[in-house]
Amino acid sequence: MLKMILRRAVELLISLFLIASATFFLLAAIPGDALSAQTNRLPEQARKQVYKNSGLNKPVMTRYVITMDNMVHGKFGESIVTPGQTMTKVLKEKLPASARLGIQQMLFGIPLGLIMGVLAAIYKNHWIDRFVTVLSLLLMSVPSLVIGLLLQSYFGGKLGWFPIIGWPEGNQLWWGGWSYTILPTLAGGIGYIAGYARLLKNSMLDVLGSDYIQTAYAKGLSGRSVILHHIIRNAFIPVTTSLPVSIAFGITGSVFVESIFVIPGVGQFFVQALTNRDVPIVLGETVLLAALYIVTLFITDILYTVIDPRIKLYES
Amino acid sequence: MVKVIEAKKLQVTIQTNEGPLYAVRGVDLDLFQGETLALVGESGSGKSIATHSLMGLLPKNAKVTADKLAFGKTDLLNLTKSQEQQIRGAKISMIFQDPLSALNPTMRVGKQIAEALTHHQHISHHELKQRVLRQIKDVGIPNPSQTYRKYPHQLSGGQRQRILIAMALIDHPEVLIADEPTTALDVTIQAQILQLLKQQKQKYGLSMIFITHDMGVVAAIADRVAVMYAGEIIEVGTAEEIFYHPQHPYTWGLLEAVPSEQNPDEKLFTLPGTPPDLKTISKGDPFAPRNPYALDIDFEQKPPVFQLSDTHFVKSWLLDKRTPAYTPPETIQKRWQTFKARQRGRLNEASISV
Ligand SMILES: Nc1ncnc2c1ncn2[C@@H]1O[C@H](COP(=O)(O)OP(=O)(O)O)[C@@H](O)[C@H]1O
Ligand SMILES: [Mg+2]
Repeated sequence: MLKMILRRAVELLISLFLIASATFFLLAAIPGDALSAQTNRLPEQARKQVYKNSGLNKPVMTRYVITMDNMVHGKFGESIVTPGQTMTKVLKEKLPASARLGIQQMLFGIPLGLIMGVLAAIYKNHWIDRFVTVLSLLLMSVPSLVIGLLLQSYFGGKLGWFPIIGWPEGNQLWWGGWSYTILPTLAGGIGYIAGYARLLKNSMLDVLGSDYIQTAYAKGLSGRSVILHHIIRNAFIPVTTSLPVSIAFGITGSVFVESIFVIPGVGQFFVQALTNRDVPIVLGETVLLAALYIVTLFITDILYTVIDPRIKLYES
Repeated sequence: MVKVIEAKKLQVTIQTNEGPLYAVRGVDLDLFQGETLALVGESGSGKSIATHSLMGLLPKNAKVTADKLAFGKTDLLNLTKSQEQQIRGAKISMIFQDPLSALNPTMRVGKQIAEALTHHQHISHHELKQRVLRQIKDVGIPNPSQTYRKYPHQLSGGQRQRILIAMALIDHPEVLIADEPTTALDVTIQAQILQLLKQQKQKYGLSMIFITHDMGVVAAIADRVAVMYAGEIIEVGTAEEIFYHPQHPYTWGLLEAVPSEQNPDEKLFTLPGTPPDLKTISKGDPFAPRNPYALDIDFEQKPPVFQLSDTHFVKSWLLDKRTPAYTPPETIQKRWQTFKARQRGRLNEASISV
């Protein structure tokens, strides 16, 4: 097991290095850079100075080596667009809000989606199934932005049950201030409901049609035991493959929800960094996403072996 | 003889997107206590659907009708869900073609066997485990307690089929429906499984419906044989009658498709043509288009059932008195000669013993 974790750690580092390099060169290959928009009206002299200060005047390879060297030492460097802003600061100041929002959204949306998927599969062609199908279709086609705005105007504005904007800060950063979090959680969590309901319904139907379910009925088991002991566990196998992506993206913020609810998260910041070609921040973001993804992937791999005995994580 | 299963005019229609599919078309079938009845026929002829209907194990879009469908005195047509569950596994059990896919991949096999028992009997955890271990041993698996903890993928194909047999028989059912249980296995394992089934059948006085499309397997296990084509039973008789006195050209075809013992690798004779589309009901005999012996009437009118003996029934116009003389294939003629010789032998025996 320890060997396995070590191997995974090495794999993680190699992947991160490759991803960071690829991102770096892709950003470098696109014409223009982070400073071109700000500086193209400045006199030649001043512009040169700005570029010199940011280090962007150096050749690509040199910049690459410097960046990588910094990264190895845990520094992603200062934002080019917003001087003084660094990845470390971003993670400390902005990530908690996004992460809490994402976690709450997932804790709300994924289980609800899974329950709806189970019901839709069990009651296939029944009104419950139709309801779930139509609802997921509806939820999938309406963007979280629209849902957010609707929630704001109805529950926040008309009924006045919840604050329309804002997010708990200070010692309530991770726990407390719930009334602020409810609407944003709903707005983003609804997307998970639709996705996971469909995913689980389909995998349940796959399992329902398989031979061992027929065997289970042939033994004389009741429909309830068949569902509980034979269908659910097998139907969850495909779900574990979807979780890492959800978790990685869930934690790193959602642009729309964060912006309409004015949540001090990383979502918007990261998108801005990307449009501005703010290399240090984009790199930091990419590495963070990739690391989260790979780590959750590893955790779900372990989960996988628990659910499905056919899969072995480490060769004996 | 006691009938454990009796079906009269059994019909199963499956609603598909392209309309109704008439999978089983008026089957009369009896299973007598203690016998093995082989149900043979090409793939798609309705063998599985017909037998699964006995256990209520049909897809939701299938509709069963029959003049009679009974297990002993129990009417199988109007069971409640819980009555159905009481019969499944406890009175009528089933084993399947592909033992790997028929076992839940994420549950230990011991538990899967135990489930078959727990549902019908309330016994202590310890006793349950002991019964399962004994059952695993009983089907010829050497180390029961290790096997108990294994998952299906950790066992060989033959062992998996043994596990399925253990599961089917742990509750001592009266009827076992074996749906092509040896088709997915290689020849030596096949023989072992057949042996095991015979032995278990003896031990528990089981009655068995054995589905296969392999006449070689039929010869090894069957007391009686029913031949199915396009949802109908077109010939039924004792094993001797079907092997040595076959009357239906379709049965002839099946028998000619058996590899001879001398050269088992010889290219098999396969019946030319394809089975009919089960969504349409033809005017005449559905086998007529593939039948080299077809008469004009075969395309016009369905053949009635002709009875040759107490046990031998055939649906073919060839047996009608008006049919002109015909010669069956050579190998079939040879079989008929054997049959005659045996009959004569038996008559002699009988006259001696009198
Ligand atoms: N679930 C189903 N839906 C539609 N058609 C089916 C279904 N199951 C079986 N059939 C059709 O019913 C016919 C008989 O099938 P089956 O009893 O499985 O044949 P066999 O066991 O003799 O190979 C086939 O034509 C098959 O295509
Ligand atoms: Mg079949």
